[in-house]
Amino acid sequence: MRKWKILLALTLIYTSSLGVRLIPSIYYDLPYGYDFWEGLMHLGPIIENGHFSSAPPQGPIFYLLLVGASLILGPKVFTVFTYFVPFASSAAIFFVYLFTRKIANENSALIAALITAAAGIFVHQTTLPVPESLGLTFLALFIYLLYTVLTEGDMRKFFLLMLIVIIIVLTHHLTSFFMLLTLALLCPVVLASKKLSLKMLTPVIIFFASLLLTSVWWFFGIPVVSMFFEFIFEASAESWILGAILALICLFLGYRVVFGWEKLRTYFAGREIKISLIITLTFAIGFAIATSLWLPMAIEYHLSPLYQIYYTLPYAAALLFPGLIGLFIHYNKTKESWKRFYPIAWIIAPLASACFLLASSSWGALSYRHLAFIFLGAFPMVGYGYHFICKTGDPKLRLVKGFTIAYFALLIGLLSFPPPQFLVGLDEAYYYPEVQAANWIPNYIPKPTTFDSDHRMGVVIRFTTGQRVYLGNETSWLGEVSQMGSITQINQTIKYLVITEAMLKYTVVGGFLRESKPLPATATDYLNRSPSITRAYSSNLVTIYKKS
Amino acid sequence: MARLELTEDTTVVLAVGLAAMLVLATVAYTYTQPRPYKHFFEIYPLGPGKMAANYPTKIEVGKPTNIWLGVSNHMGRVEYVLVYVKIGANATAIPNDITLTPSPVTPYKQIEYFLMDNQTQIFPVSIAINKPGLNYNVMFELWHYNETAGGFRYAWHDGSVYRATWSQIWLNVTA
Repeated sequence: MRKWKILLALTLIYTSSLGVRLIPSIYYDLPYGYDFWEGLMHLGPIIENGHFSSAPPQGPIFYLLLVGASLILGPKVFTVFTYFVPFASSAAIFFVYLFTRKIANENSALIAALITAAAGIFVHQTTLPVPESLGLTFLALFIYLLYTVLTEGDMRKFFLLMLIVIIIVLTHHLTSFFMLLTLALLCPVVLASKKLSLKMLTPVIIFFASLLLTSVWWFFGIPVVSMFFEFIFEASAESWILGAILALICLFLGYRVVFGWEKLRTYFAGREIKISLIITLTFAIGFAIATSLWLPMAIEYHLSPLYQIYYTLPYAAALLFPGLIGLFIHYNKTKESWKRFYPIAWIIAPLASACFLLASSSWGALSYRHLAFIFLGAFPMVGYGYHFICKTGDPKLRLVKGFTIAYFALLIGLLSFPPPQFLVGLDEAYYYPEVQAANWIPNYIPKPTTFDSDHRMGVVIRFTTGQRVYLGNETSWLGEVSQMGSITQINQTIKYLVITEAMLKYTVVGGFLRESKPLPATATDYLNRSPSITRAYSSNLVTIYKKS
Repeated sequence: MARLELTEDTTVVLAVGLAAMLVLATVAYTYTQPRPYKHFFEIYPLGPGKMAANYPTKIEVGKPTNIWLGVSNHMGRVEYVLVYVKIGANATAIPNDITLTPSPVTPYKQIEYFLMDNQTQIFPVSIAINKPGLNYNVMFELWHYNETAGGFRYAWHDGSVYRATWSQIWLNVTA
């Protein structure tokens, strides 16, 4: 393909990626998602004192980048939080393009980049102003660089790779975990390679270096992360055998594909193309339906059947189906076992981890965090698959196929920011009246005090006041009333209750260990009619009650 | 006229171009849509120290007590607002947040202000109750002048839906 065409296509893809990721920022004019308010708390000390407060946050690189962008480019940190991440995370499309070009070809790479720009859950996770969005972007670069060093042995790229490892470890804990896990799966396959050379030892060197770095950082820099992993393993104690079996099945399938499953070679070859397409499509849709039926049982969430139409079927058709085709084509064309396994490893590592957690009912809800990582690993295969479908059959139909891919890209792009009705009642957007109410509190409510709210509103209040806030969990009155559906005694330590419209319409957002439920109308009626409770503030969207 | 050859490369560029156009059209459409919940009012009673604390709870019959009341306008334009102070008993007739109807109680007092956009007005309100009793709920309803209707209305339009706002304190009146 001519250079100008590639540049044009990449420019269009980057613009699309940026456009779709900027939608929430443009529409709400506020940062999207809950976690950034906690991140924002870390930035105050950096700006005021030039360094972090006593303990650094778990992703210092992310915060330093935002502060740096604010200082260099001029806008306020809050504006940078709202708009900066899409510009940085859209760079992932270039890294996916470069890697796919290496393992497949130019056209597959462009399609893979397009899907990276639009793939719903991946777009969502790389839009939020949180360390994970940058972690995913750096991981995409890492995947490309490691493959380049393995195939070319470039020492300059090796040092760049080491630098990226340090950046990933200091950016996001979950990304570091998946990087380590994938390297651990990759090392034996690379070491078993018949053409073992010094450059082939790169994953082993990187693995031990990153293991050392991660351990030091997690245990001494941010001990909260190691505690978090400890909680997960403790909570999974009763179900770890089932979880381990599920994870091992994933790993077995991954390794089995690499080390000779010669029958696969007949797939998508010769006259087998049509039947292979039908089998693959049937499997993709069947897998999606089976997952959507099993998932609610595994995680004890009441997921509406509408979720299947909204999520699983579009993803099965637009990603899983071409992704599987891509896997088969990749398998057929690649001879060396490590090269076969390399792109698959980035899919099966997070998949195995998700399966391990799914077995534990209370932590199963965390598995959604794995999807963006699975997607990142799958994009090259999806591009490969789409390219194969385009190339196969009558050339006159190519335009129709091209339009279909474009439509699929838009379709999955539209799934990026689901409304609360399709997100177990979580409203991820914030509105001006809520931020205004949170800014009102420190001016009119004397300290010290305690607030009861939910996780969504509570993190904003915690940011603006620095006071103790109950976040809609077991200790929160609002959390308990929403769970039980009946009125209970308000905890003595609670002085103010902050209620948002989202709590009444959707859910009182608590922890992810239990499904959040809406606040019953009887709760506000009780608060309005109780003589010991003052209705101290109202903007309709937010109401603040003061308990005597 | 040169005929466009539909090669594999051209198809990919076309697909990418079309996808970009579709996505960017969606972004442009989003940009033209009105922003949600940007227009609103705030109302809040404050205690003697102009804080949302230490509200009077016990007053003597006929003796006035002073509190402060804050009203903020974030409607994106100048607003003519009216605050109705209504006194009820045991919250038997409070405003309805679902039907957006005000309390049926006859206003005890009314205060009017012109507020610029983003302006806050904090003003004193003196309340005296001439009958002893427990659990008087003093309600503060925010009404605004509706040009179309040609009068004050309780509910206001935030750009997408109608809303209304009110606050309340409680008083026990002793002889």
